[in-house]
Amino acid sequence: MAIEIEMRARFTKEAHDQLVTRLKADGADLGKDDKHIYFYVLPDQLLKVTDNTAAGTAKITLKGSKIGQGTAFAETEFAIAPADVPAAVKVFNAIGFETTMHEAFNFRHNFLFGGVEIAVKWSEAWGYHAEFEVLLDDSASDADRAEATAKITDVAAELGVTLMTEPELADFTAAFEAAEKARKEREQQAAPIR
Amino acid sequence: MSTAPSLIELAAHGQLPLHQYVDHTTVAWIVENQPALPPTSPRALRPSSQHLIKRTEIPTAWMLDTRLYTSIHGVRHAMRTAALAAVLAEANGLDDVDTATAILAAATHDCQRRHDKGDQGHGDRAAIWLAANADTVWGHFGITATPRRVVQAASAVRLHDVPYTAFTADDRSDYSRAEHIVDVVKAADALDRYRLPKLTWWPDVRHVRQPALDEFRSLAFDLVVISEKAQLAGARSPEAVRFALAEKGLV
Repeated sequence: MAIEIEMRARFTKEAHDQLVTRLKADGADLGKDDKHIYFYVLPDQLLKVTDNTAAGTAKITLKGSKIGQGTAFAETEFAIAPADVPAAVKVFNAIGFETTMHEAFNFRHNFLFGGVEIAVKWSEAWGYHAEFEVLLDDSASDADRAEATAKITDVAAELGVTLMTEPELADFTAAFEAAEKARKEREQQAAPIR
Repeated sequence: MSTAPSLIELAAHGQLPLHQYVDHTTVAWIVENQPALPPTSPRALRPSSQHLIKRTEIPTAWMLDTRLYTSIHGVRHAMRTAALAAVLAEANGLDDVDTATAILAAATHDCQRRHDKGDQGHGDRAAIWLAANADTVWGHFGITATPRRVVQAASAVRLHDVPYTAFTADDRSDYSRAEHIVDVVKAADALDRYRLPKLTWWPDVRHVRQPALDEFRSLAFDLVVISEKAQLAGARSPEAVRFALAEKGLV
């Protein structure tokens, strides 16, 4: 099992364009990495079925904590065939997870800057945002984790990006989940069409 | 990539099917044929308009034929037309109420189509449907359906597929009740014609009453290209359009 040290930032379209320009000039361009993701928000865990549409691969991932519950995410994942994505979603929905599912397309471009992988993204829920990530092996010590966090913080500062705090992330994801629940309820209560 | 003939090939041979779905070849052709357009000045929509165009993802159940939801007259066309209606309404000085009516009419104008070809009378059908379902539709947008708003939106929907030159006395009477809204919806619908697979079908100022149409062509073209590419990349139709709206700074 790998450990991801992951931090995030949301920003305007203008800030997005400036960041991409800087990363293209001074970072390594790892290319387009669009994804269609099915998220299952479980108590204290996050299960994902990811169709990497740009890369032509797919995977199933279980993250050991949710966004807003710390920067270190224990992660177990395995590859599946892209053609098996609908079946995987069907199975998870059938075993009782359907009400916890959100579906989103992520327009994503990956860069490497200062030893940190930076995914610059747009999705409906998050708008323009970026994920800063350092991958550690599961034997990483607390000092290794602290060092990775510091590295991300330094890189974000160098790029002029303000990272979201854990309470900000927790509030944002809670607001999104509440809005999604309300939207689903509205859809179910919609008056019939004549 | 599919080996099925593209929309541009089918259009060139007069063989377009009843249900038409955009393909990679057609989008590449649209990009290759980008006209020299003056850039549209960046403009921030009013918060009330931004709020409404975020709600233009009409439910699939509103479509007379759900096969059209993702076709060339489906939800992407509806959402882009609604966004362009918001831009045109504000540029023409319409107030919040009339702008909302134009956005709502633009979002629903094609929902009662039977197919993607000529389908004469689809404007009439959509106008009747809109009046019958006014509370549901206006409720979807979070606004109140007053008789005046319903009559104006239905008039714009009914007249969207009737050329100005073919207006009858009844059409002129309906037009007089909602002149500015009808003009905005017809022009917005025309601007989204950059999605169509034949150059002679692209926006033509002679068919609209929007003197400054040229000012908005660049925005309309970009909305088509960004959202159609996004949809082909795997995004759902509504999120593809919302991505295009974000890229153009409209939301």
